[in-house]
Amino acid sequence: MSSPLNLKRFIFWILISCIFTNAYPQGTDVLMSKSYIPIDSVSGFLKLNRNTRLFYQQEWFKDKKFHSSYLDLSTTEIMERITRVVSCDYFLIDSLTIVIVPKQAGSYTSDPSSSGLVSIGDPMKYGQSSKAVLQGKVLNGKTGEPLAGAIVFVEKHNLGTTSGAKGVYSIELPVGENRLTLKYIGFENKYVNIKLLSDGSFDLELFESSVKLDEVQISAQQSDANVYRTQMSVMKFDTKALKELPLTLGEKDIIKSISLLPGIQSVGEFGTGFNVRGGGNDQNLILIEGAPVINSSHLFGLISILNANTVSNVTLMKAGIPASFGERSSSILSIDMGPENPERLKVKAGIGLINSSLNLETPLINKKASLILGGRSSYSNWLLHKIPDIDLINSSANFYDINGLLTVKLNPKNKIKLFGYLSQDDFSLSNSYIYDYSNLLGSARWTHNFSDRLSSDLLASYSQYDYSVAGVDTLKKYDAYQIKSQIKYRSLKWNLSYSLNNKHDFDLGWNAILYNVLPGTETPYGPESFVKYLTIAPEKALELALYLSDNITISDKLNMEVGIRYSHYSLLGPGNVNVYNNAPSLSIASIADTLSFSSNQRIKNYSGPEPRISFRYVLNSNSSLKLSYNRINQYINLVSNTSVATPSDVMKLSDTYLKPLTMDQLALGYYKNFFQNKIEASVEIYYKNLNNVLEYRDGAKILMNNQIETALLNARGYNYGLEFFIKKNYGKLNGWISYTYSRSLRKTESDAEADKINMNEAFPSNFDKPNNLVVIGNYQISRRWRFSGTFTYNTGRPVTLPELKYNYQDYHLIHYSDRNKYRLPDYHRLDLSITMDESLRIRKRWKGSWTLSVINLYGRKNAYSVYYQNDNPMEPDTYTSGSLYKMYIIGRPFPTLTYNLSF
Amino acid sequence: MKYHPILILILVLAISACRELYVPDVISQDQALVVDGLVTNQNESYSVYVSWSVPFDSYKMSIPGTDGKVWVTDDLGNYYLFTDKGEGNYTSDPNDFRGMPGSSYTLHIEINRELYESGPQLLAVVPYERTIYGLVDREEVLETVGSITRRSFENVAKIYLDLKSQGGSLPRFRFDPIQIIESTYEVVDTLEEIIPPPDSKKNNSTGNPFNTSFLKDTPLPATAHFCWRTLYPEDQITTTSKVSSSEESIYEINQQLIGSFPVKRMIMARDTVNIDTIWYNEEILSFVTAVFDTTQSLVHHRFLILNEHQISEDAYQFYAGIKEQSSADGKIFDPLPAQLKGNIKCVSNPDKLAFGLFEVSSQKSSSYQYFPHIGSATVRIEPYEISIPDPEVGNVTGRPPSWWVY
Repeated sequence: MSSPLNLKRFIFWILISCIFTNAYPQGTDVLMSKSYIPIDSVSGFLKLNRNTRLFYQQEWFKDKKFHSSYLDLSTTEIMERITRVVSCDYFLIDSLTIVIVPKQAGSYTSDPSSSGLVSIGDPMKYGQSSKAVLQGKVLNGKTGEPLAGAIVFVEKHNLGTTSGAKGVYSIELPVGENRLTLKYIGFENKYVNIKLLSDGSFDLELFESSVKLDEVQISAQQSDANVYRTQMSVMKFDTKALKELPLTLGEKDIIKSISLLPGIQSVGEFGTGFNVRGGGNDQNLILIEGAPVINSSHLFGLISILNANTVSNVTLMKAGIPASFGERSSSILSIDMGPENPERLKVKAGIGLINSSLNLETPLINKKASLILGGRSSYSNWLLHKIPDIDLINSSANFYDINGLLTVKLNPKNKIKLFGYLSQDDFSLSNSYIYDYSNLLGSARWTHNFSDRLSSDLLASYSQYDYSVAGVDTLKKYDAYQIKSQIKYRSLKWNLSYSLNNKHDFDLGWNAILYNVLPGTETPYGPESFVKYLTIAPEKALELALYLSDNITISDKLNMEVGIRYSHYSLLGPGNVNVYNNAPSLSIASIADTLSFSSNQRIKNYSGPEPRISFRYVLNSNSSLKLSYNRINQYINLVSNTSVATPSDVMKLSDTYLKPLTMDQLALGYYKNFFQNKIEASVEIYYKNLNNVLEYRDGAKILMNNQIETALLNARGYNYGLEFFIKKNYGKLNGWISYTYSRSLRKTESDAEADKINMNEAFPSNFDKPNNLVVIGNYQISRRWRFSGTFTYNTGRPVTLPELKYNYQDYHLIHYSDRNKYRLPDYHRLDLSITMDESLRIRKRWKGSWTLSVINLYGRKNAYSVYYQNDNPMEPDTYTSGSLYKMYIIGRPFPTLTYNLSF
Repeated sequence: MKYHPILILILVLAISACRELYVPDVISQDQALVVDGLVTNQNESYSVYVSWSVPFDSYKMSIPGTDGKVWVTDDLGNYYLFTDKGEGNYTSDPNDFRGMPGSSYTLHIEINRELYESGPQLLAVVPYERTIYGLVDREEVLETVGSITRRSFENVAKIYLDLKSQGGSLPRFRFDPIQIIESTYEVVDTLEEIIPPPDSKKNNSTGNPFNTSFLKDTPLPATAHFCWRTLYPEDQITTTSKVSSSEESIYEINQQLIGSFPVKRMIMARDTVNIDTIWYNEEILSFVTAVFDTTQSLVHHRFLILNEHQISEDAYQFYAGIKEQSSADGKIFDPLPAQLKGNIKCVSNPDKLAFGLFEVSSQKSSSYQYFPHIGSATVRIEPYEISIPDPEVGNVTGRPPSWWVY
C-alpha cells in the first residue's frame, strides 16, 4: 500500500501536521523534546512544511515511532535517522520526492557483493592510516561523458567536493565505511556505500532523471551547485534545461534566453549578439565545440545561429573566468553539441515560424561512435516585411545553416570529436543593396585519459566569417560597387588536467590563435562600373597564451582557484604603418612617413599577464560567499559606428595605434538557498576597469578607411553593477526574478581637442542601461495545462539627441547633444503563453502540445531608435520637416499559436 | 520528453507601424553663435555671416547676428575691420585686406557682450595638377505634381576631376561650382507652328556639332527671348576613400565628383520667363519646349565656374561632418550622430556654444562650357572665360545682353 497517494490519508495527515505546525511556535522545545511520532506524522510534516513527499510501505514502520526532535533536523538528516532505525534505504526522485525502499532494493553500488559495500583500496594497507583519498570521475552513465560540477559528499562527516571540468573528483575520507551521496541536476541522486581501505579510485556514474522538470528551468546545475561551486557568475544549461527554454517567435533561442539572465542585456527586438555587464558585443567569446563564432545571429539578430535541437550543454561565464579561457574580455559562452541518446537513431524535423529544420542522430560502429547532422533553412521574408522600416519592407532575407558532429570513442582512454558548421545569410535592402554573410566553423578535439588523475585535451578549431555588400542600383551602374571583408580565426589549444590529490586540481596548457582579417576590398560591380579597386590592407596576427591554474581545497569551507595566463600578441606583416608627426591628434594631414613590413615580419608586439583568482567560502550548508578577480587582454575589436551591431561591422586587430583592450574585473557574490534548495538566491557585485576600450571620433568614417587609426580612439571604461537573482526551482509555481543595477561608462583622456569626447568627461556607453528587471513565472494549472509569463524592464539605452539647429551656408544643420547625453524611453514588455499537452501517456510515441503565446501583450511601443528627420518629400502629408521620430519594431500584441510534436 | 515544433499556426492580429513623433525633454542653451566666414587669396571682398541657432523644434532656422563687431587679424599684427551690411552679413574692404599665402588669420567677433575667436588659420598653397572631364549619368529625382510625389529619373552631366600632387601630400579641397545656363527661344502661337530647329549640319561650317557660334549671324525673330540663370550646386569636398598612392611620392585623387547637373530638363521660374519647362533633344541639337507654352528654344548653353579651395584638415573634417549629417536619414544603419566641430570659440565665456567655421583657403578659379551628349557616355568640356551674370537671373526680349554667349 502506498500511503501518500491516498487522498484521505493525505488530508488527515495534513490536519495532523497542521496541529504540529500551529503548536510549533508556541512551545517547540516542550512538545518536541517529549514526543514520539509515527512515520505518517513525519510524512505529513514533510509534506506540509517542506513540500516534500515521502513514499513508503506502512508495514515497514509498524510499531515504530520517532522522536519528534527529528523534525528540527534537515530532511536528509531525518531520513538518515529513520533509515538507521528501520534498516531501510531511501533515494530522492528529486529534492522534493523521497522514496523509502528495503535495504536490498537500495543497493546502488556498482558492486552488489559485500552486502552493498564497495571496497576501495588495498586491503593490506587497511588500518595503517586513519584517512585515505578517494578519487575518480563522475560520469554520465548513458554517454560516458564526464559531469563537471557534480557534488560528492559524505554527510556523516560533513565532507564534500565537486567534480572538476573533466568530471574528476578527489576527496579525503576516514577509512572504513562511508556513504557517498552524488548529486547533479537533471540526474538521479545516487547513494553509494563504500568501504575505504586505503587510497583508491572509483568512478561514479549518474543517470538522467526520468522526472519531467518544470518548464523554463534555465539553471540546470545541481540544485545547490550555486552555493558550492568555486566559480561565480556562471550560468549553465544542460540538455534538460535547453528543452525547457522559452520560445521566441516559436523557436527555442539560446541567445535570446541568455539575455534574460542577470547582468545580460540585448539591444532589443532587432540586434546582433548580447551585452554582458556593460561590455560590447565583441567582448563575448562564443565557442561552438571550441570553434569561435564571429557573428552569432541570423537575419540581423532576429534569431541566433544555434539550432537548439542539436545543443547539449551551454555554459556562460561572466566573471571568475578560468585561466584556460581568454581572448575576449566580458564573457565566455561555450556551446557543446551532443545527441539526445547516442545509442538510438533519431530523426527530428520541425517547421518553425521563420525556418524549417531537420536533424539526424545515429550511433555508428557498434555504438562506438555517434553522428549528428542538422540543418535549417528559412522562409523569413514575410516576417521581415512586417518590420516597420521602409527599407526593410522592400527587402528580402534568407538563411540556411548546416552542422555535423562525429564523436568516436576509440577506446576507454581516447575519444575524438569532429565538428563542422556552415551558415549563409542573404539580405537584400531596398533592392539596391545586397548583403551576404557566412560563418564556416570546424573543430577537431582529441581527449586522452592517461589515468583517472591525468587527462589531456587537444583542440584545433577554425572559424571563417565572410561578409559582402553590393550597391547594385541598376540606374547608377557607374557607381555600382561591391565591398567584401573576411576574418579567419585558426586556433590550437592543448589542455592538461591533473588531479594531484584531494586538495589540488591543476589545469595547464597553451593556446595559439592566428588571426587573418581582410577589412575590405572594394571592386566595381558590373562591367559598366567606374568604381576603382580599393583594398584596405589585410591584417594578420598571432596570439599565444600559456596558462596554469590550480583549484585548491584549503578546508571544508574554503576553496580557491588561482591561475595565471600569459598572452603574447604579434601583429605580423606584410603591412604598412603610417608614421604621424607630432600633431596632437592623428589625421591624414599629419602623416609624415609610411613604414613597410614584409611578410610575417613583426609590426607590433603586446604581451602581459592575466591573473585569475577565485575564492569560495561556505558559510553553512546552504550559503556561501565568493570573490573573484580576473584580467583579460583582448586583441581584436569590433569596429562599428552604428548604434546597433550589424553583420557589416568590421573586426579590427590591435595595431601600432589601437592598443589591446585590457579588462580587470573584481566580483563578490553571496549565494543562499532556502527551503532545501527549493529557492536559490544570489547577490553579486562587480567592478570592471577597461583600458584602451575602442571609441570613435565624432563623425568617424569606418568603412573602407585605410587610415582607420585616425577615426578611432583608445578610451577608458568603467563598468559596475549589482545583480540580484532569486529563483524558485520547483513546485507548481516556479520561475525567477532578476534585477540588475549597472553602469557602463566611457572616458577619453586625450589632450587633443579632436580626440576629446564630451570634453573628456565620463559618458554612458551604448550599453549603459542601469535598471534591468526580469520576472519569469510558470504555473502548472493542471497536469495538462501550464501557464507562463515573462516581464522585462530596462532603462532606455543612451542616445544622442538634437538640441539646436542652425544654418550654415545652404545647409540646415543640427547641433547634437554631448554623446549619449539622453536616453531612449524605458523598455518594458510582457509576454504570456499557455500550453496544453494532448496526452501524457508514457507509452504514447507521438506526443503533441499546443502553445498560445502573445508577445508584447499590452502593445508597448518600445523605441528601437530615435532619429531626427529634416524632411520627407516622399510623404509630404505624413511628416513635418525637422522633427524627432521614434521607431519601434513590435508595437502591438503579437500572438502566435504553436503546435509541437515529439516522437 | 523532447518536443519538436512541426507545425506552427500564426495568428497575426496586427503588426503596425513603426514610427511616431517623439518629443523628448531636451535641456540646452537657448542659442549659440553661428559663424560662416571665408578669407581667400583672391582680390575680392570677403564675407562673414553671423547668426544665432534656435531650438531644434523651432519653426525658424536661424536668427541673424546683427549689431556685432567683426575683424580679422593676421600673424603680422595687422587688423582688418569688417563692415556690417545688415542681416548678419559683415564684409571686408578689398582695397584694405587680401589674403596672402603663408599667412595666418584669426577671426574676432564681438557680439552680445561676448568675444568669439577662431584661432589662427593658415592660408596654405600646395601645387597640384588636375584633369577635368564629364560623364552622362541618370539620377533618381522626386517629382511632385499637386499632392502626388513620385520617383522619376533624369539625365545628368557629372563633372569630375583627377588630381595629382608630387612630393609631400595632397591637400584637402572644397569645390565650389557655379552653373550658368543661357537659353534663347521664341514664343510661337501654337504648338503646331514650331519653328524648325537650325540644321546644324547645314549651317555649322565648323563641323563641330556642339559649336553653335554660327547662330551669331543668324537673324533671330523679333520675339526671341534671352534668359539666363545662375545656379549654385552643393559644394563638394575631397573624400578620403579616393586617395591612393600609386607611387611613393605621388598622391592622387581620382574621379572626384565636382557636381551633378541635370541636362534633360530645366525648370524655369515663371517670373523670369513665360515658360515652364524646356526639353532638350540632343539628337537634333535643338531645344523644344514642352506643353505648357507654345515656345521654341533655339539655343541652350551651359557653363561652369569652378572655385577650388585648398582647405585645412580641420575644415575638411567640418565639411565632412556636414555631409555626413546631411546624408543621414534615420535608417537602421546610419552612423551615430555627432557634433560638428568648427573652429569658433567664445573666449570670454567658454560655456557659451559657438558653431561654424572661419575658412581660410587658397582659391583657384576656372570656367568652362560643357556639352552633354546623351548619346554617348561623355560630356565634352572646353575652357571658356565667363563670369557670373549681373543680375544672376534674368531675361530680355529682342536683343541679347552684351555679354551673351552665342
